[in-house]
Amino acid sequence: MQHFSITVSFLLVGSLMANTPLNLYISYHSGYDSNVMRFSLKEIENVAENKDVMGGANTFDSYINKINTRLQKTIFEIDKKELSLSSSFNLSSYAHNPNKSYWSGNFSTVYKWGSYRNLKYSLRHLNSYYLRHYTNRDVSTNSLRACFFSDRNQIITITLPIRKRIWYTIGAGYLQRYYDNTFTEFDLDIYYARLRLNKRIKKFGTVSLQIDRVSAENVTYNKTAVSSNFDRSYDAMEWYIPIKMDRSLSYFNQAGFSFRQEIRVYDAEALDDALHSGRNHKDMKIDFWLNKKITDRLDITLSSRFRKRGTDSSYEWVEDLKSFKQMHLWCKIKWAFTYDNY
Amino acid sequence: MIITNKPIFITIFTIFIGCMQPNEESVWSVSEEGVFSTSGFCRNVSVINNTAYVAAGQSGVQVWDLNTGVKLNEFLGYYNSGEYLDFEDIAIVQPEEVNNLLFVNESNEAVMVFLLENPDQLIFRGFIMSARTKDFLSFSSFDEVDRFYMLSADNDDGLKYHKYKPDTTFNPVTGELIEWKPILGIGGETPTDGKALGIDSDGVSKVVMAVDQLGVEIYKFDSLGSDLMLHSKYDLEGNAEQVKLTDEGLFVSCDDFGAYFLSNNYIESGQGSVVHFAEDLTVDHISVSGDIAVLSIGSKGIALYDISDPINPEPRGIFDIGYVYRSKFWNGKLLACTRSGLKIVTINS
Repeated sequence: MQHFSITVSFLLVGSLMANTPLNLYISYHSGYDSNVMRFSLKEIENVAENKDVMGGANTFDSYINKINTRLQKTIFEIDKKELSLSSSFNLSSYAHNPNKSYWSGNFSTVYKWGSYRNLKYSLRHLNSYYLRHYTNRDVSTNSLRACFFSDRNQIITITLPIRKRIWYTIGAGYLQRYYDNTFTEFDLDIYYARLRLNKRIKKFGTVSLQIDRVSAENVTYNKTAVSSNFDRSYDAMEWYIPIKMDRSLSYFNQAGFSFRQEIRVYDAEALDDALHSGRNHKDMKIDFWLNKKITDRLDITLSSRFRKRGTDSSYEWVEDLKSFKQMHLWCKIKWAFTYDNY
Repeated sequence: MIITNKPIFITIFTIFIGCMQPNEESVWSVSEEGVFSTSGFCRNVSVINNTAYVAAGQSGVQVWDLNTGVKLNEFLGYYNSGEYLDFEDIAIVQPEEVNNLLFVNESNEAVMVFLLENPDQLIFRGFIMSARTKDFLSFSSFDEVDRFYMLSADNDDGLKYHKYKPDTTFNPVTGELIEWKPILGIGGETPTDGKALGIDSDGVSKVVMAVDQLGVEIYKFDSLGSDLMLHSKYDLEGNAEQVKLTDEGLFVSCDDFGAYFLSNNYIESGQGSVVHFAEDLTVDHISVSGDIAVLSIGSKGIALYDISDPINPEPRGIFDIGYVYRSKFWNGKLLACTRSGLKIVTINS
């Protein structure tokens, strides 16, 4: 958190000193989340038996307000070579679940040296993101505590063309997912490799296929008290297929659809770890969006996401517990500004 | 060139500081140093110097050298009037150094006294206290040879307190003393409404007894030390099973209702603090050393608490080290009586 703030400060100072315009984007998102705490159907049915699992919330769903600001600056542009920096800051507030409110930030730098040729480094921080109230099994058998985690995600990618209108991106990433004090037994170091193929189709738009190969290591396995006796390490494969249509549209400027699926398999094989042993899940996200440019500086995006996680386990209660459905709806209004003092 | 270097510097700087550190959890850790396989369940242990006297359930009485991990002796039974008798289920073993005695209690029975002059042989010296003894304590009488005190929690009789001396009757065959008898006029039996289960004492002024559903009772020695008077009693939630007196107050294990701490002020005047903690744990026994309280929680192992401020015990983790009946501190380590034997555990606090 402190390091992230320092980085962003450096970026701002560094950017403002270059003699190029500074682009500023501000967006407001109004949204709805149908299942904020990702409860399974079984849990929703049983919540009346233990209302404490709601963590003080009275509803499973919530309206969301989100504000995003993004700064972007091209540091230099010589011929086809270009170096740019950008950073963004998000503030999310859940109207019906105050625990869930959080902030996140991003910093990235891109060096381009031609069409579909670039090298990018990105750093993203997600701060104290609330999952729900869980039993703190390290010290208790039924005492519920709020469970938060923070993400620090870094990725370096290189993009190169294959042939005309087809290009690819390969990259490697390192995501640290560390939980707040009472749930550090879930801490993960997640390493992933990324391959993405993109094709620009004439009079249609862009179609991509992205594959992430993920290996997550439970760094606190056996390092805290009793609840760290379970190994939460896993391997995963994630498919992501975004289709963006930005040609031949009469009213909207862009329409899009994406399909994302993560197939996760837990490493645990211990017989006494029914919750993780032999467990795997398929986490599917389907997104739709429509974008309309109102003016040069103002555009609106409507989007929706349907998410479904299906868990497979030898134990039916684990499948019931870890499967859920979730729906997001968003309306985003974005303003673009340019500050050019030169 | 200057503006080119700056973003590169920023990027490199960001990569270097991009990683974050995990949060530190406030739990402690434990490491198992070793297990002495007692064959039967290790129900209780007493330690003198570095020798452990183990109540090993159906595997009788065992004596272990804690430094070397060597079993020095194992006693599966004893001779009484020429007849060999097997131990049934040993629950408590306590040595008494001054008179070379070993007190052995089978579950729900009277206390057996053995002479342990020869380390390879238990010489039966009779029964003391009475049937349904659940817990007992003994103190040597250092100013008088051939004397010891014993306090017991008797499930149907209440609190028993006696000073013992050797019987003057000699075995005509061996010429040895054959039993110990209470000295008349010192101590006696104090009935209680509750069912006595556990007992502890500072050996000077106070005796506390866990009396199951009725909580705890505090007794004081009279000015001569010859009798015990009921000072106060406190009903607690759950079934009070075991008690542990410390300099700050009294810890009580209350089975399904966790544990209690009663401050000295509360015990003395009813005006101090009563703290209920580990409410959701089934606490069978509590041992205390310095700032550490170890709660034996049966099949879940042990629960550690930081009691540097006993009014606010802070949980420091549950550790699954097997089914734990009770524990005892020895040389800064923890001896855990478990179903798989006597475990030596280091607590990293």
